[in-house]
Amino acid sequence: MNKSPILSFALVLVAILTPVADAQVVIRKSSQINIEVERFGGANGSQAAALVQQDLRSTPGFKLARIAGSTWIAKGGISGNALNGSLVSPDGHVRFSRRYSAGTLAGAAHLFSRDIILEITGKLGLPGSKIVFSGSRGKGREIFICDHHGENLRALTADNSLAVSPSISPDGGTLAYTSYRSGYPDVWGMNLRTGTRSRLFSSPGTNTGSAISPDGSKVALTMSFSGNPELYVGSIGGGKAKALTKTMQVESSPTWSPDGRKIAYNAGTGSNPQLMIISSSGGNPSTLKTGYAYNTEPDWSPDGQRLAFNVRSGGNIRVAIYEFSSGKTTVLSDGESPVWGPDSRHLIYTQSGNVYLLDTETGSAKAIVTGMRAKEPSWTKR
Amino acid sequence: MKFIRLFAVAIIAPLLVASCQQTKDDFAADPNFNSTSYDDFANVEPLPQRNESVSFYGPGSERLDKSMFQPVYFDYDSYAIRQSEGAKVENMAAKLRTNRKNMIIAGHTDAAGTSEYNRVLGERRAQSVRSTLIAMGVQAAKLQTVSFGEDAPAQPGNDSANRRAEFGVYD
Repeated sequence: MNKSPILSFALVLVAILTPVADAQVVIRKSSQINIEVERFGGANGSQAAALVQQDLRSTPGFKLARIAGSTWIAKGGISGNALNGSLVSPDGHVRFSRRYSAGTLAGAAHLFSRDIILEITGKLGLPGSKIVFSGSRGKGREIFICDHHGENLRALTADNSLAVSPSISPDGGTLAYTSYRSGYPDVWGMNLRTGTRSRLFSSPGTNTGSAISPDGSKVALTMSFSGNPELYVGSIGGGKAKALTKTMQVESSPTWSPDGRKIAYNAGTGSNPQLMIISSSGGNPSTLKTGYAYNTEPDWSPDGQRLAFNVRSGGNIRVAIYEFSSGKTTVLSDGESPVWGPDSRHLIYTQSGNVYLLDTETGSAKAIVTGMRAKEPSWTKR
Repeated sequence: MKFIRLFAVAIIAPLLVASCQQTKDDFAADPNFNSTSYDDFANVEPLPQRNESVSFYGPGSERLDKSMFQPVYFDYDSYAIRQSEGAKVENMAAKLRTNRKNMIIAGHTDAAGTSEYNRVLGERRAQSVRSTLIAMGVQAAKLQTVSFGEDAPAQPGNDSANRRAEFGVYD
């Protein structure tokens, strides 16, 4: 038992360093996913394959590379207007083989990308998700929809009015938005699969700020018919809504927790809007202390762990994140109305009428929609 | 009777301005308020049913007379009616108490805040004017509100000109 001090020190060093070194190797191995997208057969096969490659290349952790023994293979073929896609694991097993036939070929390619990412990582990436926003190509405002990279942009409304404050349901099936087409701000609903729409909430005063619940069955919104703007929860089919607040402040911009049990919003008497959380069935709200005087437009991350919102700092509106576990607020960049993507990692926000995509881990941001006077985006969550 | 009304206006108008400012100060002093403590909002009167054949924007806007009353302007991020605008509101109340007109109050904001917050702040500005007019003796049923937030600026880029309530009357 009589060891020299130097040997003891060396043994301790080895004991400390060895597991750390091992862990680093393991992390590095699992963090990079090598995948090869083989040439897709059939008409427009190369275009569809290029879209899948683009989707995977832009997904953190994925690398389009062939390394013997550690490479996933995506195979595809076009028949008619359908894409048949399959995924083969590095050990040669077919992990899935599916037919994507709904909508456009681009849409099918993005859904195939979504399934590849989900199968390999167990988590959703951005491909397959949809973004809506209020934009303008001249007079008034309409609601527009596009893919996660701003592609396949098209108008959803032709109200020839002010169409603003859109909320797309987490599954992308339903849109709720505010339109002044009656001459007054009402909340309208649209079934995005059939295109049918109806006026959901048209109380006296202003009806706005819809947020569709995670299960798609309810809408949280602000209405002012009582003589003061308050938060309500109603059915996606419209009708009578239940009041969540009854105060003399201004409440706006509700967002649902992913389990649908809570709603975050902002409330204030002018000058000091604070972030609040209330049960979606009503009760007493609590205040989140962010350290900032002006806090608006919260959006709850799909993993439930963070709120993205706006603060005003140095005279500018900035994008901030509140983390529930630490209670800390981090300011990321200038920009308005941040919303989370399905991966709870990327945000989109608007600045000077452009939509930006921000990776909250690397801090890199790029414009994905420009020249549309875009604002108030909403993003599908799965 | 006329004396009593004037007396009421003279007493109530400054009180309202003062109470709005007091509320704001209280809030600033204690940001961790519990909103249930503000349930005693005294001047809340529900809005009347809409008449959609007349509106501030789009269908029916040609039936609205926007020339009768001047806009009321607001301070940055505030919905309190400032003292310098009080005479405009008193003038409106005097006319609306005696004529048979209905009025739509449209609230607006500058573009400095965020969009949805501004839409609701604009509504609250319209409601501030409405509750003041009601306190001055105007029938609640004559007064409708609407907000355009930052989406209908009077002068794009001129923040102080855009923080306003506008008024349109109809028979």
